[in-house]
Amino acid sequence: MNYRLQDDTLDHIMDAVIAIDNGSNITYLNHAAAKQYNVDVNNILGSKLTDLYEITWLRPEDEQNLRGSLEKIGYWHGESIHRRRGSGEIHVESTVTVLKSTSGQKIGLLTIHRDITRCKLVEEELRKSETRLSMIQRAAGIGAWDWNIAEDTVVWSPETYVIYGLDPNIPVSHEQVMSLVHPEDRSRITDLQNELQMRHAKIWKVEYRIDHPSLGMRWLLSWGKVVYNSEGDLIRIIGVSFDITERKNVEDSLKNRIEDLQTLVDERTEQLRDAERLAVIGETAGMVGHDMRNPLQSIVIAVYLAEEDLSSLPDCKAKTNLKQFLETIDEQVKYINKIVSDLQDYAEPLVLRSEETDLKQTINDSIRAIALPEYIQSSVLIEDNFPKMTIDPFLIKRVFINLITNAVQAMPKGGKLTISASRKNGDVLVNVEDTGVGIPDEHKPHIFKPLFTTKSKGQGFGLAASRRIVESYNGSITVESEVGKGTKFTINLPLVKR
Amino acid sequence: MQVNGSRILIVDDDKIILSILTKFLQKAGYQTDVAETSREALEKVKNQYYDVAIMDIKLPDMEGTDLLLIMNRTSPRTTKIMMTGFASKENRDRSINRGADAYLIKPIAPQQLLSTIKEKLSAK
Repeated sequence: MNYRLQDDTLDHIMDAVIAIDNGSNITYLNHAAAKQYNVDVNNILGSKLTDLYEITWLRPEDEQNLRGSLEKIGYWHGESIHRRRGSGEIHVESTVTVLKSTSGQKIGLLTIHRDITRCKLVEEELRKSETRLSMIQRAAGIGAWDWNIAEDTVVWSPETYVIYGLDPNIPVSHEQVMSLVHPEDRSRITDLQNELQMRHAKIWKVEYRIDHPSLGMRWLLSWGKVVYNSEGDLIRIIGVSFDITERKNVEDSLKNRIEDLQTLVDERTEQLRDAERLAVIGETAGMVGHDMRNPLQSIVIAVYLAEEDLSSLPDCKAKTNLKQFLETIDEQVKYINKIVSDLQDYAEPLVLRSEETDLKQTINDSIRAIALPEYIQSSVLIEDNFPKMTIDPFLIKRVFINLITNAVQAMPKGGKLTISASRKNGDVLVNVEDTGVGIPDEHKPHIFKPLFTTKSKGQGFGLAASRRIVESYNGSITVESEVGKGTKFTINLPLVKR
Repeated sequence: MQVNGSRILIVDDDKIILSILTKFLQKAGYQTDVAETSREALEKVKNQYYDVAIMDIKLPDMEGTDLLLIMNRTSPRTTKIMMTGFASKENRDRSINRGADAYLIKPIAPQQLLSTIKEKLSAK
């Protein structure tokens, strides 16, 4: 009765149950075993176990382990491969127990074999699939992550650890992730989280910087799907992260480049506008010059003839007065002519001649040409053996005349004019310094621009033309000035034109 | 070449210049003639030899530098002085290249005009 109950029970078990005696002859097997090994229960009893299957051990030491374990504790549990007679291999998980008689003698073994072939296949597929996914992530530099907000846990794929530069063996927390994020970018993440909670949007997308332990500052893009529970609470975000530092760098350099280009365009536009304006001025200057120079020519000769006629008259008060008037006319005509020349100088393209020029002599000539008023004290501090410069003496004289004229006009109550020259590497530095009224700061950016003038008598071409001349010799002209103290112009010219 | 008594043709469309230069050059001992246009100048040189021609560049009917080219053919021995208020490199280069003896920019100092004429005449 007892035996039958056991028999019925064993027949309902899904696992294969087989009993053998000490000679490996099958003494019992249940329905599941017959099905698993594709045999008939009645025919197989008494046969050898090897008529059912042959074992292939997963590891060589497993057979030894089985024997040892059965001897020691009378029990073994493990996995192996059964090569069935005629119906292929199965992967089994087995339990083997020693059967003993009431007197304690070993009379056989009871074995239970569960077919886990399908489990193993699924396991293998899963492992392959994970490997594939991991390889793809590695290749693409994409790290996957699962942030469970409700449970406050974070799970990362191996590549995510690589992206953050962290040890993949140490689990991370959200708090720790946030500590790696650049302080300025943290609010962007929390703001997005709050916004999602409010709007119930489906997509998580945010760019932020992290402090990578070995690579330094990196830009990451984090992109994922948002999960809400039935109450609408944000409970989980699953997504991927990838390093977008290169893209950001390219973006930044593009942005800079665009800004540079914009500045360049602005500058060029400004220059074009100036050039256009100056072209019109140049044209006008040419016409005005021509139209003014004819009457000037007549006046000059008329004055000359009048002076000659006057000199043949007997001396009297009127003769002295007339002579002075004619001198005034002559002087003023020269001044008008200078204005016309300045205009035409500026309008005309510069033609550079270069010849050996004595700087000191040129400066002294310039001072003589202006005829300094008596209230101006001038000194020229240039050594006699100062090297000769290769430059156009006429053009450079125009520069000095302009600078000295300005200096004189800046000192209506008198003062000191000092012109000095020194050498610096292959360059010549000339300082033209006055103790005059000085240039207000707001005027300084404009003084070299054509048409800029603060003088009631002046067109604003002197300094513009001077700079043009100096720059055409690859030199430069700069100014230092303080209101009430004076002004210093510094001309930097190469000794020989480069 | 005798300087005094030399004959000068002044070509300029500015009547005041013509009149004042005439007075000035005559006072300096020259014989003068005037023309207001290139056409008039070319008419004059057909019938009369001039030692010197002082020519403006901007003339109503022709550029003075073109008149210079024609005069090179019609009056090769005449000393040609260009005198202009339009001081451009182009004008100067063209004048020199086309054989002008001098290129002066108005207003020229009276003494300098006289010395230029004298110098160019003596060189012939």
